[in-house]
Amino acid sequence: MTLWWLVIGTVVGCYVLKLAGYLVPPRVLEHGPTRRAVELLPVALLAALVVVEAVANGCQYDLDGPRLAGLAVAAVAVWRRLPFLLIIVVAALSAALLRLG
Amino acid sequence: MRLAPLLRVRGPRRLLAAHGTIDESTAMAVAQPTDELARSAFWWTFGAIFVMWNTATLVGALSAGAIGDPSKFGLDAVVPAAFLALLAPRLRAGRIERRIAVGGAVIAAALIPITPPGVPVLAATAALLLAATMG
Repeated sequence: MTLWWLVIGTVVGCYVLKLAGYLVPPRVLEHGPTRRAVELLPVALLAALVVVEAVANGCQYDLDGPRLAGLAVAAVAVWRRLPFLLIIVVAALSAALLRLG
Repeated sequence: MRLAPLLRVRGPRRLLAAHGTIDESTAMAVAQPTDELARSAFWWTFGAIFVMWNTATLVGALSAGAIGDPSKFGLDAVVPAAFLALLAPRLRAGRIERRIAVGGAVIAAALIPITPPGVPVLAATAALLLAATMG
């Protein structure tokens, strides 16, 4: 039961946080430094997510060969500017093929 | 906050826009060249994901046991690959972006063993936000 309250609390918290973004007056957002910070925020967020998703399993480092190889292949695909879907497919395929053996 | 000036929603529609504000709709919206296309991208991505997400969840809940281990299909490699693909255009945008990305990656990697899951990403983002607003 406690778990459900936690779930409900998190749901409400997430929604309020997202709604808050739309309730901020436009004047604040047009302010230069705020705008710059808001633009740079996703860069830090995405970079951190790539690392955590690649090398972490809970609180531990988990260096899984096929997964890292999949990410490396994806990195090459990104560098070669392949379309998004293709990047995803080659990442999954490389990891899956390496696990076959 | 990034989307508000782009979508310019008012009144009760903000309640719906808030529900639709997810990684995917945000990424699709900010990648468009004009505000008009950004609004269209946001609402269509939200709609498509809302329908597909709920349908797929239902299908998964009813039948996922039959598939076995999802990592067999390399799905665990898909997540970081997708985030990397979303990050790429920003890395090409300038040197500050690249420095922030490296900083975020290093901070997150360092925090993995010493903080609960989820904290490394939030802490990396917060630290760099602080650095960006002060610098």
